[in-house]
Amino acid sequence: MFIKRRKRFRRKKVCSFCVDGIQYVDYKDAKTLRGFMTERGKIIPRRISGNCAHHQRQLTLAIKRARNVALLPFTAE
Amino acid sequence: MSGQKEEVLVHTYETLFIIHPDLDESDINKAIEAVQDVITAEGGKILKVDVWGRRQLAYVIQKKTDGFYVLIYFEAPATLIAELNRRYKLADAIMRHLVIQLNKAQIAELFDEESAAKKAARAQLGEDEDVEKTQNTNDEHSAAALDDEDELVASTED
Repeated sequence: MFIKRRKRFRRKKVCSFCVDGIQYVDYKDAKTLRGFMTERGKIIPRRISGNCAHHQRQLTLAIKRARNVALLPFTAE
Repeated sequence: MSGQKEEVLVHTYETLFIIHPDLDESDINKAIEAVQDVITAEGGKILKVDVWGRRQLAYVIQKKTDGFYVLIYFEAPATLIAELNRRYKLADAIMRHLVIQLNKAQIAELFDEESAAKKAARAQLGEDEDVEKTQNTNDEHSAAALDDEDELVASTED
């Protein structure tokens, strides 16, 4: 019974970068990147954010670059 | 093949660096010029200089909470990058630096004004969406109670 309900109401996740038609995830766009991090500054995994593999790879690279130039935090203090 | 080896491969790069915030304007300009000089002296060509100005840092660097950001797009042979990185390390005025080689899509975007305008429009629109997005992920984090999910679906269907 429960399983059935879960199945019925599971929302299909879509990669938000594919939806927006973004070719390249920019490390300079800190505001967008922040949306894919937890409050503590961790990168949100693909299984939760619903990103496709291609964009998740770009995203992690962009976040790591942004951290290096202090646009994003490594961790919240 | 061997004949073409003589020709130097030129790539397009972008570099972002943070200048020490305590310097006055003339010293900041001097630091920016120094970087440009390194690029042009080694056979590079500067495409665009974008001075972001003073910005708050995401974390403390050298006991400073803000920094002066400068972004430069340039074309250069690969040999220049090692030299540029070396000079960055030596420069006391520069706190952090990053050099990235651009791919074709990024170069096209850089020169395509239209896509830049679109991006700006999206950034403005995105502000409301961002809030929504983080709320959604938060809901999913909070143990994703079934009832919660039902509500989510209902709201998206509206």
